[in-house]
Amino acid sequence: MNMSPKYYPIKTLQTDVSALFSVIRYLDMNALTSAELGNMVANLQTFLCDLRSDLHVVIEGIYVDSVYRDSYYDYYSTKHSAYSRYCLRLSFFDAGFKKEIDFADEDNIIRNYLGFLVIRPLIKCIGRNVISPNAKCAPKDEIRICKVKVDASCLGIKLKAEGFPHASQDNETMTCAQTTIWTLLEYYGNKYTYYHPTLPTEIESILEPFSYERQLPSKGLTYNQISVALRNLGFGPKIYQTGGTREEIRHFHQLMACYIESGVPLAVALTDNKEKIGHAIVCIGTKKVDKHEVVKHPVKVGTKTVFSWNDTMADVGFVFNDDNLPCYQEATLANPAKNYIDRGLTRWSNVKVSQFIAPLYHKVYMEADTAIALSEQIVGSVIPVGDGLVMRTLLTSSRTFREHITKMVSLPNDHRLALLGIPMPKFVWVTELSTPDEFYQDKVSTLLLLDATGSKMANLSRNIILLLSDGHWYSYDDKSMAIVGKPTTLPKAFEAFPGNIK
Amino acid sequence: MAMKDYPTISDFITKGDVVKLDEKTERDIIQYMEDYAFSVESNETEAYSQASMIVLNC
Repeated sequence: MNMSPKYYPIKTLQTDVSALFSVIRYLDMNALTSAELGNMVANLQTFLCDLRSDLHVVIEGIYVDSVYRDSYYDYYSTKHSAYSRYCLRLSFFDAGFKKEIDFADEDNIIRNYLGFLVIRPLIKCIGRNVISPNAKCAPKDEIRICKVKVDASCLGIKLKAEGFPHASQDNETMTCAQTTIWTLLEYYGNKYTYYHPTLPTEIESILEPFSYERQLPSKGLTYNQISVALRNLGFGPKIYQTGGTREEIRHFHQLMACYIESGVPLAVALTDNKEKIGHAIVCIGTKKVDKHEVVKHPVKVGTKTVFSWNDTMADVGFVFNDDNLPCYQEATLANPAKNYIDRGLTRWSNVKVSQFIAPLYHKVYMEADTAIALSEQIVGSVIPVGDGLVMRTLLTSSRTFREHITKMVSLPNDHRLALLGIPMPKFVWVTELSTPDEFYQDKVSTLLLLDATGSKMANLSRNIILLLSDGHWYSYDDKSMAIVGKPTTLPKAFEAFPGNIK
Repeated sequence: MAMKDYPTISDFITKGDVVKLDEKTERDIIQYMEDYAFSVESNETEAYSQASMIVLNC
């Protein structure tokens, strides 16, 4: 069925079910019963009601979505029952959008654009979407997430949708496990040229040698299969498992926080063996944390006590993209299935985060636990300061960190040039220490950079790229054959690294 | 145009008290990290075996 583009105030779609039925009818799905159509409308309404009610929507039909088309030709077109090849695309605009389109005023579309949602001709109709957190009902400034700009268009105007990719599972070609792989690659592939966005058939073909049964209709994947797929798609994934003791669980949560602060989205397993629940979701960010909370998280490091920023973040909560729910769901690690329980699914009450996969760049040989352990050893034994200070550890590219050095306005230009002259690998682990007061003002007094291509078996000086603490510069001294901190004219406090999530 | 050398960190090092890590402490750290590596590896074995059993499909 052909259709011209339509405009709707989102409020109409959120409140008027008949308007949603007329939108769904543009998908040309003759074979569906009214009950199935009702399910589609309910799925769509749930998604739209999670967005602000002052937005505007432009709907374009006969939309060719690469992800759905891939599933269509591989699977749906081979069925007896007819499925449409086409999707709808909803484009969302901010409150200031004028529905009278004037192409002399492209800014009306570009400036107000908040992302898109593809509607598939399936009961699980929520297809590929990239939505700005600004479009969500919940206050936008309460979350920090990994973001990517994805090419899009509306009414012929080229646009960039900024957010974290999301889609619902269709339950036949894509379960939560495949959607998790697809989502991660949609993020990385659009952000870095080293990776490429993937499609369901590529995931299927990668996993062909690792599957003992047919893959379609899909019955899900094991966690190892997800890791294998990520390896084949260019990552060096690391699998982490939670432990049984309180300290092991704290450590596991701390590692999650460390990777998220580093801007590494994680494939997370929610499980409850008793209820036979196994679900894969993507952790993409954190709730914003009141920095003063950090003093509630003391950790022993040797004889010193530091306040752990990573523990603080882990405690406050994370943001997830879950393919059963609208994008950007918040939950704590103590109650990760909160959004299911709130919807009446009490079976999910004992679900826990049991594992996560960190899809690392393949040459990041030193992972988070080693970087934190080594940083703690250095803070505990190498530098005199540390007691009562806030400690934060994260991974970043040296490119991003070197850009940060250029913006350290507390340092004179010559100091910045000297720091920029230090050779660095592609990725570095950054550990910062600051007094609580410095921390609240985004300042640090100790900066430690560890070589992310380093090893837990190597000696200290091989792993340390840079250690500047309390105005002392630490390096290996050939004469005394030891690490020595020499006084410098560099300021004792300077700007903290702003982090990789926004 | 004359060439110019940009400053290095050694240009900003001053005379004063030096903080020195004694050799024994460095040996302790290396030993700690070796022990740590061993404990992490045994956890990893458990993680891989668990990861092969749980099917994620909800």
